Amino acid sequence: MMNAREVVAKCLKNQAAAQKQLYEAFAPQMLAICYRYTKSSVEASDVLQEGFVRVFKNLHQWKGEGEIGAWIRRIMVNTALNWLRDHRQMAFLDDRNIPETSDDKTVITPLQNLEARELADLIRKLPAGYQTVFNLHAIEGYTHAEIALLLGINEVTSRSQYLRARKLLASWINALWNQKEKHYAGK
Amino acid sequence: MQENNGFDISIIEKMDGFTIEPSPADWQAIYGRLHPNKKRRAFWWWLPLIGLLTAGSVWLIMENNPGITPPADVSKNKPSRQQNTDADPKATVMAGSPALHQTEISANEAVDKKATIPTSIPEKKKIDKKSSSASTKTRKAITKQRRAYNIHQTSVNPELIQDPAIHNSVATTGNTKQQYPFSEVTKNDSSGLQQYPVSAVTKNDSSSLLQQYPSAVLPKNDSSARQQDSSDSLKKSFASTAIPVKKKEMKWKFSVYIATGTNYPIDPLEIGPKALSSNAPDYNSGASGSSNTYKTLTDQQGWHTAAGVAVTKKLGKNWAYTTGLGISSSRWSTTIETYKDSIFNGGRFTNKLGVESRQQKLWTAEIPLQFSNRIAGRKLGTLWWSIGLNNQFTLSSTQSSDSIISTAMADLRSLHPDTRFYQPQFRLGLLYDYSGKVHWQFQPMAQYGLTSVYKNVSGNNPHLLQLMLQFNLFLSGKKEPARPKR
Repeated sequence: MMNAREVVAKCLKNQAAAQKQLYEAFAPQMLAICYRYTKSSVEASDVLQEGFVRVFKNLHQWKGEGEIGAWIRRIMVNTALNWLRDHRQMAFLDDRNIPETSDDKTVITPLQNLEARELADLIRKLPAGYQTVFNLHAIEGYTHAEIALLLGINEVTSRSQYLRARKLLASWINALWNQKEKHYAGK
Repeated sequence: MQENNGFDISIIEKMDGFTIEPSPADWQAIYGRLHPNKKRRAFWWWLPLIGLLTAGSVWLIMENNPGITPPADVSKNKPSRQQNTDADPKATVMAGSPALHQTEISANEAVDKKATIPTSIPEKKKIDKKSSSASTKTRKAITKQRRAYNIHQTSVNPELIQDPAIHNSVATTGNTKQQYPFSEVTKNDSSGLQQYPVSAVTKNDSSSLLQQYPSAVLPKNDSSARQQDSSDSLKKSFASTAIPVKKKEMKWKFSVYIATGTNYPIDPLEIGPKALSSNAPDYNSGASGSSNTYKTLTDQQGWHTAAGVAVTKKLGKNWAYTTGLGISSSRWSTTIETYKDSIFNGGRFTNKLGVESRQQKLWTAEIPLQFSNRIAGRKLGTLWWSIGLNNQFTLSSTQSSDSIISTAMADLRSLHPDTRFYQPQFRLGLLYDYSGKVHWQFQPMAQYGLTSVYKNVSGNNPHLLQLMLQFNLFLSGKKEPARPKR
């Protein structure tokens, strides 16, 4: 197990071997994050590269408090958001009429039978606004207030986007599950 | 609600364990951006060359500028040793061909040679034959006398040579040895000390010349009547051949210059289509595919500034040559637009457009070479046109990205991998020269790079046209340097 502080110290000396070590330790996890925020693998790759360049250039800002992985993850998410801001016309519909608990009962969660890759692909199919808010709230754990600040929208919009995203995602998961059941039943 | 929380938790659990192995190209791209190629920045290899050029320029200027030539440089006018051995100084004096001071120098050099190279002294052989203690004593005595001689020698005025007594003695002495023009006169003396030239001269005068003429100025009435009579014609000859030391005119003029201007792109670079690696994996299918990329690059307007020192030499009435050494800085921006099509084997098609703006900063050393030709004006203000070559050498080059709308593809980030070290620039312009109390020049000109700053993949180079204004301030003005006393 590598000592994160030692590796970071070497990275700060611009040692390529240490930089590669840090990259290899966290790149698969970070690429999965980038994958969820983007629509294609090429885009995910671009965000990953930009994110790691930022990581290495700002590594001196990591004070050793907390896990380096969490710090890198935060930079990667911010990079992805910047990238989306520049590349996507995210339509955040201010649908205040949607109650927070509407149609909650319709959500069926046969998630245990889904592969992680399949779930990630479904998240990527969401409209850009839904996708971003869902990623930030459901997976990264940001509150709606924080999301509102990050994306420049109001809190209600964030909440409604999340609910719509979850509803849409649940319907897709159900459809996929039914499709799989039929497939197995046919066999 | 409980069910919904379970949904969120399940998603978090699923996604926390989700990883994707990145392709090797990703790390290569990151590495390329973290460690840009610095091979061309190893400028220190060229420092010796620049030092040599600078030293050579300074030497050239010193050589051609008597105003700053130290007095010790008289030695430059010394005839070569070969000349000394080939030509009898007495004979040359008689012939009247060399200048008076030159005769003096010949004599001095002969003395120097004799004093510093004991092995060439004929009497040295005699000394060597004696016992070592005797030799030591003799050498000490010789050294002492040489010192004494040298002291006197430095106080002897060159006009001594004009003294008829000296000339007479020189003229009447036969078989003078070439290296020691006066030694033949002293050859019959038993004392080794008398072999030195001044002593030799004293023999014919029957007293020490140094005692007769201790001061630098020789009394004119102190010569004997016989010598006066016999040397009348010789004096006339000397008078006619006493050519004054020709003062060299100042040929090079020092100046300092500053220049500023703008850069304009002439032929924007276009690259494409460029096939990317066929191993671009699709994350969905895992299959490889192919991509085509179309890329355009435009160098945009920036600014240029330079400063340095120069020397100018007039070539006749209407031409002038200028060279120098300076440092310049150029800045401009480059916009790169990328359009990429990717067709994966699974049939998926993606395309994207990326725009990136890069700020280019370049520091160069420059050695301008320029010829100017007078168009009009004869007095204070003159108008010239100039043509030249500005040799620029890259000292450092930096690129910084800003306003990246899209991060470019990994394997295209290395566009412009290297800067060129040598970038000759063609110059053409006008020059207004004002040569009053303050000598200055105002020089609008155009400069066009014969090679581009950056190397690139396709070999098409963006050339920059630089429109500049240069101001030259001469340090020497029109003042004539003081003539050295003769």
